[in-house]
Amino acid sequence: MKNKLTFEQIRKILPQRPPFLLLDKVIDYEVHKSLAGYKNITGTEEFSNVHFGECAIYPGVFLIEIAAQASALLFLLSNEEVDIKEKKNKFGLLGNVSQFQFLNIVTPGDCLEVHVFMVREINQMAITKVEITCEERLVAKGQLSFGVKEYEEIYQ
Amino acid sequence: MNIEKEIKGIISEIVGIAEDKIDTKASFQDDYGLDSLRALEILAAVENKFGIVIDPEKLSEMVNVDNVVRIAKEYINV
Repeated sequence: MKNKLTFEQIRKILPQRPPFLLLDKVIDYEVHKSLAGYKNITGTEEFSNVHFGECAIYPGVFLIEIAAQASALLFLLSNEEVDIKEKKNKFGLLGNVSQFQFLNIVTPGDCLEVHVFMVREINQMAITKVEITCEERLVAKGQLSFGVKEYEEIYQ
Repeated sequence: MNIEKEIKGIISEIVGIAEDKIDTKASFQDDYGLDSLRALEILAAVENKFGIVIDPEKLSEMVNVDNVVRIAKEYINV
């Protein structure tokens, strides 16, 4: 049986809000190990007007953000010390992006599949490897490290 | 296998300093400005390189190259 999350369930866990909440659906996850989800790219998103003019290409920096949100989601789901209600106050903050490569262009109409693999997690820190594919074509991959902070630690 | 050299290479890449310029006794935090997240990256990279799993509690001891080498050797069959 697969562990799935709808967009509304994701919204309850991640603090990002539309239009910057980029993960649409989780199709499966295993805590402390992996997560897979979808991001649908549409021509109605703001980027298609500005990046670039008459040639809409999904920005690479947004691909990093998708990877970061999926990674933070896996980490928060894996944190057994808190329940879903408390997770709202926790923020996954990127510490490093390394070996990130953009291998194929993403355009409106593409359905991206995001795969996160937990490399290591200790205390409130984690390292993940992420692959983003579109119709089994690898479009981006890289490694992220991030720490989790609570609202009170950020805004004292 | 030269464990010291392999680990120095890993740390050189993460710290962004040439291997021959790294002082094995210098503090990651005070001398190279690394935070705890980078220390975790070093731990994960060493684990991956040598196929070992280091006790998370050792992370706080991994404050310079010499300590990383010492801890890694505890897990590597040499």
